[in-house]
Amino acid sequence: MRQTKKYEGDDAEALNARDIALVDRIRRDELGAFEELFHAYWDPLCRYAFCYVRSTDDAEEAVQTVFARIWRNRAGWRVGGTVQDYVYLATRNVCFDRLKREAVVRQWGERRVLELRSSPEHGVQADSLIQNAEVEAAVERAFAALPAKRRRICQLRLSSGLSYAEIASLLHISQKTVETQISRGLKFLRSRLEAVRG
Amino acid sequence: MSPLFSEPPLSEEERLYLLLESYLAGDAKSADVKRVRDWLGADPRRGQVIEDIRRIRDIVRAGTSHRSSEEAWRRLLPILLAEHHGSVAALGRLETSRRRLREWAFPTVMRGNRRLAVAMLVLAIGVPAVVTSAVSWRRDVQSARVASAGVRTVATMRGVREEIRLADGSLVTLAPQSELVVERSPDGARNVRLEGEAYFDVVHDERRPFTVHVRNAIVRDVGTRFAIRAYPADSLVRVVVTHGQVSVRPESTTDTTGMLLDPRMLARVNAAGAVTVETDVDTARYVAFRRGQIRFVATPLRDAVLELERWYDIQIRLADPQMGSRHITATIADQTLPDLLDQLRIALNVDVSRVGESFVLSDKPASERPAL
Repeated sequence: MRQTKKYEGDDAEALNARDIALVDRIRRDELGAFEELFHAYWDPLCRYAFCYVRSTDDAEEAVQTVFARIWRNRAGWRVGGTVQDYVYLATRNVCFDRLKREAVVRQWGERRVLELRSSPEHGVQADSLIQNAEVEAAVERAFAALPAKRRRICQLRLSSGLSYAEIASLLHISQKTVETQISRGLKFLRSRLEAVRG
Repeated sequence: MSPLFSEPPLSEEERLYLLLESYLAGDAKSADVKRVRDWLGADPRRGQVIEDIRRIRDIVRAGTSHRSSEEAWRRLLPILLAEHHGSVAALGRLETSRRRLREWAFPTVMRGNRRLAVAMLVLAIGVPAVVTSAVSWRRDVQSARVASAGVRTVATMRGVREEIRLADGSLVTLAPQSELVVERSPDGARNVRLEGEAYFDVVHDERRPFTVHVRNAIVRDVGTRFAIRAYPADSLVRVVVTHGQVSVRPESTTDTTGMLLDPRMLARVNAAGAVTVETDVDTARYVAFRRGQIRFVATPLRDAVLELERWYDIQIRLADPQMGSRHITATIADQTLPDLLDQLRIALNVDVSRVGESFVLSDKPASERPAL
């Protein structure tokens, strides 16, 4: 299996160091530290959860649950790998719990509810829908993990549809830099997509 | 200048992505458009690459409408600060028990030995009850129903829902605190009586209509899926069709046709026997209970509380009766009790505390209410 870089740039190390420090303080009942963690991860985790549960309310609820549980169990909170891995995994688990309990798979894009019955045809459909969710979630997470500047440039290009010249002008950088940032961003995002797709 | 901006020149792969992205965005130069098309044409597998880029773009583009983290924090904070009810941790999720009841006479001949197994119920407070045998009873019923000739009864208690497979293959999901009585008819007709709430998935058989008698209404179909609700506390009988067609009529009429309901139609039969029909309803809301889910859509709190009490087998009190007229919009999906209470705190912006055997919902003191 090809080893793909999970994080981009030096930011990742610094970020994790910050997170670990927060965890220590949270374990010691520091609400302020918990709030910092909350603000740091709320947006990306909501987008991530949405990929699975396909509803804004449910996504928010899932992330709220993750944080409420962390706080409730803060005294013995242990983080094995990175804090980022932990919160993303916890969110995914909460989403899956919900999906499993519902035993209902929602149709992507159209929000129709598809009953998951015992027929194999529906089984296959459910698998591919979950696979879709995993791919989307992986890209969401990777995007959130891009260094701030790169993420901003990619956002301006992919989401807002600005031209290279417009972005360069807006951020006071060269067009060459814009090209570099976008291509590197796409390469990283695609590598994460491939890793999940297999 | 940040180190980020003095990187080595782009690799071929990176150049490609840039090209494909421009192509997809529609602002590639015509020479580049040709290059992309030639490149794609040379090897069909390359289609995957451009599809990936397209997908990435769609994902990044997708808007979201979730709350800001500030607003979300304001809602979460009171919950973190509230006292937690440690003893409640013992209460678990709703349990669903699945059973095949082979003795249902639809229309098979009754077996020789009628087993009267007594349900083993764990009545200790806080432990979900799991029904393990063919006959169960409701806590508040004076005498247990006993299987007698041609009649079988299944009842659920509060906090328990049940799936029952009838001998003809039909499947009935009973909500908590409900009762289904199955009668055996000599001519093989399929007749049941319902109290409470249930979802019916009836096997198609035109020769033997499936009839549900519920309070003062009669619901008939030949092979469909529908939900019926008529708890004692409800003022009317409600029928929602998800697939197929059912007919609904009050038992007082002699006209046996009744009102025909198609999917996404909802009928209400009031105490006087008047049937009103609503079309184009969101059926998911009314059948959510099959999956252990309750949906409240601008539901008055007093009604929502009744529902939650029944589903979780708990007591809920409102500190101020006026609160009963507030509306709650939320989806409860088989959460553990602590998670449910957290959800209520967030959704209603109230305190939830344990007082004896009950949970009390109360407004927060004005000083603590976050500005919304």
